[in-house]
Parts: sequence; structure tokens; C-alpha cells
Amino acid sequence: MNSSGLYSELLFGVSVTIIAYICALLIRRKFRWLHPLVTAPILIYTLLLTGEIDYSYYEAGGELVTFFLGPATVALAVPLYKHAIRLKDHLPHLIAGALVGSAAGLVLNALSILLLNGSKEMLLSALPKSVTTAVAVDLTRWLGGTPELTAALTALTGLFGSLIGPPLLRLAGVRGAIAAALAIGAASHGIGSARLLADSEEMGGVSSFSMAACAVFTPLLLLPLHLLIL
Amino acid sequence: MRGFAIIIGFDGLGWLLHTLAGVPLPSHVLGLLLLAAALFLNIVRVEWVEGCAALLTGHFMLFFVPLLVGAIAFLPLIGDSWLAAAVSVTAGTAAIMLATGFAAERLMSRGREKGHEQQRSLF
Repeated sequence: MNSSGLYSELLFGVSVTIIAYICALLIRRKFRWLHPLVTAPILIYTLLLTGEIDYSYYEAGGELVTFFLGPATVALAVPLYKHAIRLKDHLPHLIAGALVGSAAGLVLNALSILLLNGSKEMLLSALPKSVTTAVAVDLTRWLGGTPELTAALTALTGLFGSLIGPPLLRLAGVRGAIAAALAIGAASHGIGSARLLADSEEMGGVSSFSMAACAVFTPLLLLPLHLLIL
Repeated sequence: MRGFAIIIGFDGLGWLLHTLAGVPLPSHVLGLLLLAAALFLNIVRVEWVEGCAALLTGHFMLFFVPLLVGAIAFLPLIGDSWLAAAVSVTAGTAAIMLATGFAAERLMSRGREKGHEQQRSLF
């Protein structure tokens, strides 16, 4: 692959991603229930299929966009800090809540796969799917699962959680905004937080805190299991 | 631009700690924790980074788009375990969310009895 080929691939992938994202945001203005993270990937996938473009041609530009997940994750420290004064009273509860969320995530992910006779590969790949994608993929490599499968499951989990999260918690009678944001961060990581962030920086901040705390607690909880497997 | 340089710098610091020092936490999470610590310790002033951070976190969804395109492409990998995967993604996620939500609400209401401020309702 020569350098001009790489350049055109990057340009294609990045611009297609951004244009699809903008279209998805515009579509949501008309249809509030259509999540941009459903619309945008479908738009791109449809374009690749109809244009008979190979997925690998999109991949380089896509990875460049995905790179910014790293700095964006680091940038979550800012809303976290800004709401620290408000959070200070609740800090022990938030930490305890996130610990419950991490444990519930591991137990229920394992249980749902085991009860339905999923393969061992599926079990290892699905186990960390409730934490933020970068962490989940790291953990799967560590446990011996399949990183691509984990990325897909993690993304779908986040998407599903961010779609059903607010109505589900409201129906179940979880009234507190902080408790709800914590639960959404614990069960559907950055994708759930991203949706809250778009509406309220404060709730997004709590949700991001929960996501970050779960990303710290989940590896620690998996440590004994990892020792058992080896 | 200074904000972006600081944020990338902390991301890199997290990577160094993870890769070279072998800290068993994912590198971006380490970067997040380090930047938060630097903000609390007044090493980094919040005005330096808040503009760039708002831009990055405000478009968090954009950065997930390529992963989801990849997820569609990798769906056939799920193979025989598709039912388990589907139940885990839907019912499993809902159960985790409810368990955490109820636990957090109980923890919060205990805090409230001790005289903390009233929570506002979001939804």
C-alpha cells in the first residue's frame, strides 16, 4: 500500500464517519426515538454494501476516529472534577454503588451465558462487556476471549442500555437522578454516559464517574478469577 | 490547543504507566485518574482544559461510530451462541442496571436521612 492510498483511505473513513454522524444527529431532530448510534453505523454499513466497498477500506479512517475515544475518556476527568463539590456528600455511596454495579455486571453476564449454554469463548468474551470498550477488550485479551467479539458485544450492550436505560429505571421506580445515572454508567458504560452527556453535563458526569469506577473495580474483581483460570 | 496537548499528554502518561510500569489498569482509565488527581491537586487548572474537554465529551458518540460499524461486520462470529449473546445483551444489561439502580437508590436514601441535600429528579 503506497502512502497516497493510505491517505485516501483515511480521508474516506474519517469523512464518511463524520458525515454519517451529522446526518444521524439531524435525523434525531425529526425522530427523537432514533438513537444516532443506531442510525450512523447503519448509514455507513449501507453505503459500504451498496457501493461494494470492502470493510477494510473503511477501517483505517475508522480507527483514526476511534483513536479519539482515548483522549475523550481522559477528558471525562473534567466533568468529574467540576461536579466534585456536588458529588462530595455522595462519594462513599457512589463508590459503593459502582462496586455493586461491577459485581452485578460480572455475575449476571456470566449467568446469562451459562444458563443458555453459550460456548466458553462466548463466556470469556461476554464477561467484561458492561465496562467501557477499551477496558473490556483489554480484559478479554487477558482472560483468553476474542477481542472483536467483545467489542461487538460491548457496543451492543452500551447501545441497548442507553436506549432502554432512562425509561426502564423510571418504570422500575428509581426516581433519584444520581442513582439512575450511576446505574446507566455501570450497565452501559460510555455509550450510556454519552447519551446522558448530550442532555445534561451533570448527569453525564455522574454516569462517567460510575463508568470509570467500574473500569477500575471490574479488573480488580476479575483478578481472583484470572488466577483460577491460569 | 493547550487543553488538547494536556489531555493527550495525560493519555500518554496513562499508556506509559500501563505498558512500561505494568499497572494492571487500562491505559485511558489511568489517564483519566491522573488528570482528575492533577485537577484536584491544582497542578492543572480547570480553565486550561475545560474547553477542549467539553468538545471531546460532547461528541463522545461520534468516536463510537466506527466500532459499531465493526460490530455489524463481526456479528457472524457470534455463531451458535447467538441466543445466549442476545439474552445477555438485553435481559442481562437490564438486570445489571436495575440491580445497580436499586442499590444506589438505597444507599442515597440512607445518606439523605443523615441530612444530605435532596436529590432532584432527572427524568
